Amino acid sequence: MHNKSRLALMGLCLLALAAAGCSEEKAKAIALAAEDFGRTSEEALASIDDLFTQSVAMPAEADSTRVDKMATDMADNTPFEAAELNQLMTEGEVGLKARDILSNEFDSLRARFVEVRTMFRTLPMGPRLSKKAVADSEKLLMRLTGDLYKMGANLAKQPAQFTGRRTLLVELIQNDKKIVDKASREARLRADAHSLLQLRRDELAARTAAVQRCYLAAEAGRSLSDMARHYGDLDVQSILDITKDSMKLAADLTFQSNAIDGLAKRIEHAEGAIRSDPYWKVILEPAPAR
Amino acid sequence: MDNDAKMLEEMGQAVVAMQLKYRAAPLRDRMTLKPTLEELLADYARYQVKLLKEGTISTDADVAEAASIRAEIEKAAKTEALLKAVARTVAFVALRV
Repeated sequence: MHNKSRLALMGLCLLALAAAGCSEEKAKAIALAAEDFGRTSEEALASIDDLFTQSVAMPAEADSTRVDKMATDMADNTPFEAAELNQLMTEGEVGLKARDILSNEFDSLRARFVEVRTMFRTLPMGPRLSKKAVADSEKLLMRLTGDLYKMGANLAKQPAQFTGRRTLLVELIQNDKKIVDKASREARLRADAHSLLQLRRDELAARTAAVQRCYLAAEAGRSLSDMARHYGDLDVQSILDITKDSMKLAADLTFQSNAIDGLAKRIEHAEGAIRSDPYWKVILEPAPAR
Repeated sequence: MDNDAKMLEEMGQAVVAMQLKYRAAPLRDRMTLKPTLEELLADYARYQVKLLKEGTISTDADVAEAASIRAEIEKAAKTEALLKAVARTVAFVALRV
């Protein structure tokens, strides 16, 4: 969901809860914040998954192009047996192993965030029970928040290459360089240069979006962790105000900044702050076992 | 650009070089190269995930080795040479992920 739409929808929920204002509503308010954290973290993981998947993708081709190539292969003078048939039938599946590796990795990462979402969805509504359940979730929330900052910071340094699209572009340029007619060749190569710039922009935009989502999810996680830590002392309005601030950041960031260097600095600053906080440090960097 | 970023640049270019060679190869050669290409893509995926989770893992020597492998893939004129170059990559990444 778009950040602005999400902000509007969540705003309505927050208003309704603020109007109610009893302890059951307090549990509902933190559950709402947990929903937002769950959703933003899911979006962050999906963005990274997509970024990595594009980096291990083979070039995408239309069936008509594949048919032309297969016909050339079959016209070759070498024998054509079952193994050759199988090769042609399965060439579109090259890269499946890499995609499986990514799916497994991201499924197991997602499972940890789903756990938090489920925990808050089933939050007991009685004041004492909900207080205990929230306290139990705090350490997991802090670790997930630390992980999100770390992934965002690491990703900001990792160049992305959409290898399949790069391969297709190299082939295109190699072919266009062979065009004999000078005017046609120059026109095609100019078009290729535009494609090259667009591909670079797409790679950078996808990486920036993934880093930004990590940052937003980490900030939502930090707010939620703080709420869990001070749950007993907070009233409904305070919880709603913190949630609103977190969501406002998402809306503002989308329209004010999408530069990766600026995001990297924000992440570095925020991550540095929690890692130097003694309360967080104990959870994020536990002492090695003796 | 730090060593990890350089490593990813080199590995990404090695993947593109390998994809180009594979796609330009005759059917029989592609049958031989396919498992190796699969392994190279899988290693690239593993390396990215490892970097995402852990951050710094690459040394100056790693970057030099990756650049040398990429150059070997690019200049490989025969299937055997390509297989040898990619086998170096697979062995190299296996030690690091």
